[in-house]
Amino acid sequence: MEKGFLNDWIKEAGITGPMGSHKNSVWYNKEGDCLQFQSEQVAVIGDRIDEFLTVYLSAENKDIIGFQLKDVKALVQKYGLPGIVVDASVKKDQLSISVFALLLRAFGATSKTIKEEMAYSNVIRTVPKEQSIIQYSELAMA
Amino acid sequence: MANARIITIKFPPTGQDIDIRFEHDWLNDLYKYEPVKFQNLLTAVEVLKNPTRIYVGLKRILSNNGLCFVGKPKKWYIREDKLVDFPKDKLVYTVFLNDRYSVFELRATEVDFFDPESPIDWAERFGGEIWKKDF
Repeated sequence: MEKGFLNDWIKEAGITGPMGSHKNSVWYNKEGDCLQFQSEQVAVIGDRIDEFLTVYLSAENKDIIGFQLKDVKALVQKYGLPGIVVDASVKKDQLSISVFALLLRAFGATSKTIKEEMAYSNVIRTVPKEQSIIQYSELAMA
Repeated sequence: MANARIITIKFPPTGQDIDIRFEHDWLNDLYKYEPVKFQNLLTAVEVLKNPTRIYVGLKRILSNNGLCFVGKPKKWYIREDKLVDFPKDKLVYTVFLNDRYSVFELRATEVDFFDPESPIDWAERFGGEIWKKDF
């Protein structure tokens, strides 16, 4: 398949603006019910740590450059919103949630090996403070 | 639900055609947040059309359905607009579908020591292998 098909997809999906306009930001992947983050735009190798966390390694040098945190809705159902929501007043259908709090909920959900503890610690270090809060409408509707 | 790009593939385990969805909202997010991954949709489609392994059951808490297509593409984008050979000896490319056959993730994974056509620790990660390519 030629690269040109992506241009057709961009048109069909109504995508506008420059590619990568929100890069290096945490985002909620609704189709996968997961938070994702890459601090560097490079191809990634996934390193599955546990049922919640997959670490993204740079395919160039295997540095940790991000993560995928799965089962966000399940984490919220299990532990509730207190401690995760930092501001519910932005919009009625949208909550501001703490990425660090969600990572800590996942960390505490099961007992961890040293390797797993280190993975969570390293992932938290990849997230810049200004990226630690995201708007999440799915939670408000759950 | 028409807001998706759909590709039809022959599903190897059954021989029947299935529609695989790329939701427009998801494509939009990928384009904005993860541009290299967006360009690697090229790689993902190659893997979906020519997999070497297919696994079922992604062991998620709220849904244990979903599929993972695995393959060894010829090329992939290592950075934006930088297309290189895929390191087939060390990695496989994995494409994850939710229970609606909607793609939600694509990335490389290290190969399994005992089966270099499979991702590492595949037996623990998935519900089961439902198809493997005969070479």
